[in-house]
Amino acid sequence: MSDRDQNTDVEVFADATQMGGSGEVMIELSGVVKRFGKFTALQNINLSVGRQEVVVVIGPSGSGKSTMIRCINRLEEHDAGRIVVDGTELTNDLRNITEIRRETGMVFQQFNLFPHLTVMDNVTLAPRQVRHTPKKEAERLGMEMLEQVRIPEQARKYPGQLSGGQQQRVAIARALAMKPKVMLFDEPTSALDPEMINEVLDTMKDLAREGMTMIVVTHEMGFAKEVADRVVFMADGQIVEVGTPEHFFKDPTEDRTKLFLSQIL
Amino acid sequence: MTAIARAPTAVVVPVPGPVPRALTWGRRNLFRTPIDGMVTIVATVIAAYIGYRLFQFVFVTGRWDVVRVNLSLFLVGRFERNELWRPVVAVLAVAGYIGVWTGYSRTRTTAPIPATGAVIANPENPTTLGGGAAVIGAVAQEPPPPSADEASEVDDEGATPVERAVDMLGRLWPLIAGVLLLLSLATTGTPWLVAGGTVLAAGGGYLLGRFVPTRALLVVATLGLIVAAAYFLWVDPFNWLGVPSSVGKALGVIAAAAVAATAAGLAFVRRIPAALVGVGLFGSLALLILLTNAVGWDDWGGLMMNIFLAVISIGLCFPLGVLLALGRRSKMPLIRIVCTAYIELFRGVPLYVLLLMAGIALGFFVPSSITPGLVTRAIAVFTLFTAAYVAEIVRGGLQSLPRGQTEAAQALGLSAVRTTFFIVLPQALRNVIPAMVGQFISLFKDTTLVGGALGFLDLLAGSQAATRQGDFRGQGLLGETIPFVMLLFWVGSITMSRESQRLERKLGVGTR
Repeated sequence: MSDRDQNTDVEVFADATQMGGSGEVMIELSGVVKRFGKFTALQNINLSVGRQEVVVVIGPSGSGKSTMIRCINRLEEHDAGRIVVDGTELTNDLRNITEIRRETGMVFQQFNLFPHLTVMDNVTLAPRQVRHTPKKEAERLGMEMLEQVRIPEQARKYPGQLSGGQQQRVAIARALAMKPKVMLFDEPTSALDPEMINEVLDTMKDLAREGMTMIVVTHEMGFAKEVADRVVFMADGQIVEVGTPEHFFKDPTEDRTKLFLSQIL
Repeated sequence: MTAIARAPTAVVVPVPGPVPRALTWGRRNLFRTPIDGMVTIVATVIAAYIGYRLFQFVFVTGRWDVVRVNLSLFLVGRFERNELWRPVVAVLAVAGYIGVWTGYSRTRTTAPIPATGAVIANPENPTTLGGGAAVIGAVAQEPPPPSADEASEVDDEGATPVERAVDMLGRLWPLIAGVLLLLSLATTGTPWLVAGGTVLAAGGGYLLGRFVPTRALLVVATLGLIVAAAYFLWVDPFNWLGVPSSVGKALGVIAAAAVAATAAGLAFVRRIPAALVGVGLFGSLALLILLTNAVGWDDWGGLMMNIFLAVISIGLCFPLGVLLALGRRSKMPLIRIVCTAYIELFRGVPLYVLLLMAGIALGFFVPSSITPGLVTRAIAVFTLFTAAYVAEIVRGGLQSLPRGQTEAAQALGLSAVRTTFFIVLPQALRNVIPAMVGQFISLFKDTTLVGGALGFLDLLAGSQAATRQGDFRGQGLLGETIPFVMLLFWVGSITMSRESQRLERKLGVGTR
């Protein structure tokens, strides 16, 4: 195991540093390790994401995809290595954590909207409380965001009154309202009924087209092929292979990747 | 709704009148099998007998004179009669305040949704049909039809005054019936005046909140604050607590300055709800001083004392309980240990014993010159005791929240404090309303322990004392007075319970 993995690491690191996007580094993970008790969820993750780049992360369940992006905004604390987001290193310093969370929007598998607040309040809460935007200004901004995800007419409803697809789009609007520099998507379509997946994917495609830096954990291979600048394949807490979608889906190098692709395609 | 649904059936189906339908129902539900029939008959006989005896007791054999004559003892104990205007003013003020809030919140819920251009106009999903332009066109031509949801909401809220009155009667009938019963027992006109004044104050407050425009309401609120501030200055607010007069006055001036500053600030930003809350807070403080600064509160009694103890203790134990619950989940070990120890200590001791301890044993440990009055001690015991239970209830609510809620708030950059107050607590507290109100009702009923433990003349003690004095001595009238006490407590408890159910339903909106 070790021999091949060693090679892989070197190769992957080389691959992963060739960012897409504008060429500036937006997110940099180097040597990131995360353990849950004795279980190592991430071992030696190295990945750089460029400004305006879209990186899609795929892999079998339990491979550490979610854990990796949850480390980027400190929903999980990494045990070793460095995580730098737009020049700010993620340390135990609360100011840095807050700074990074402000610049990083996250969309969850289960939406995690606030059920006791209206859609508009969901979207405006963070701008008002974290950025101290005045109410009027925040609502104008919120409406803009809801228009961007194409559900402005739902502003006065509660999340429980919306469909799953609509809820997930509100969640995207809520993250966007903080004007983040990076968006993290943690399996955003996995909890949706099939007929609602596309409305969410379309919203994400719009976002990518507008030049948002995105890391997307997903099982939607169509989305990966169409939108991704690079695809990252993870297994057993490691990055196994990184490449452009063409390379990745037509001519993967690693056996593990081939096996995974043959299982899902 | 039901009226509309029923009307056509009555027209279309001519035959089934009410009588045959009742017969069918009875046959199906009461006499389906012979055994069913037997059970029905036996149960009817027993119920009829109990009903007959109850009727006999209430209307024939019961000697209710003891209640009628001692009504004031039951209601206010030995409270100085010349000072009774103080609680009356307090009741009127509270009624008016509640009225203003109710009226104000009605204007808020029925106010049209502020339309931001084309956005709200189109109930359809604008993603279809390449919506934007079409929507704007539609708006330019005609006012948009309300969407189905908006219409139904308007339906809900737009009930006629009569319907709303009926709804209120259905909701509050135990309370209304209880008050009417008390009024029917009254021998003077004063209770009628008080009751009528309360209704008028509530109604006036409602109209004020409902129809007076925002800015005028704000002026009223500010005036209220200034009155409260003036009262602080006028009286020596804290002398009844044993605070020296000079300190009391100084505190009064500080409070008055705070009131004035707050009023000016609120007027500046035009925050009506905040202004109302401010008026409420300072107002209740002023009322508390009004209630106690001439009479203290050791001379309170009767139902008034039970209600007073319950209200104050509920108001104090709720925030304390929430803090304890948060503390028990804190990451800091010291805070967690202290909170846990507190909760487990107070939950492990009987309330009655705590009251005895506060009343009697405290004197052994603390010199009498600095021990607070007995009522203060009773309030402290009720507050500390119930807070421990409230803490556990709230903790249950906190644990019922999915982790994703805090994660989402953190991911947005909200601080831990803001996450707690904007995301976690509102949801957790809503989830535990039933248990919490149950605890408050329990506290209200437990206030009857103060008679036995501390020798207060509360409602229960008063009802016992009434049978031992004057003409009623030695006639065994506890059979009349105790059920009367039970009835009054039942009225209070059932009202709390029903209002909490309503609150629950109201807050549950939108989370279905």
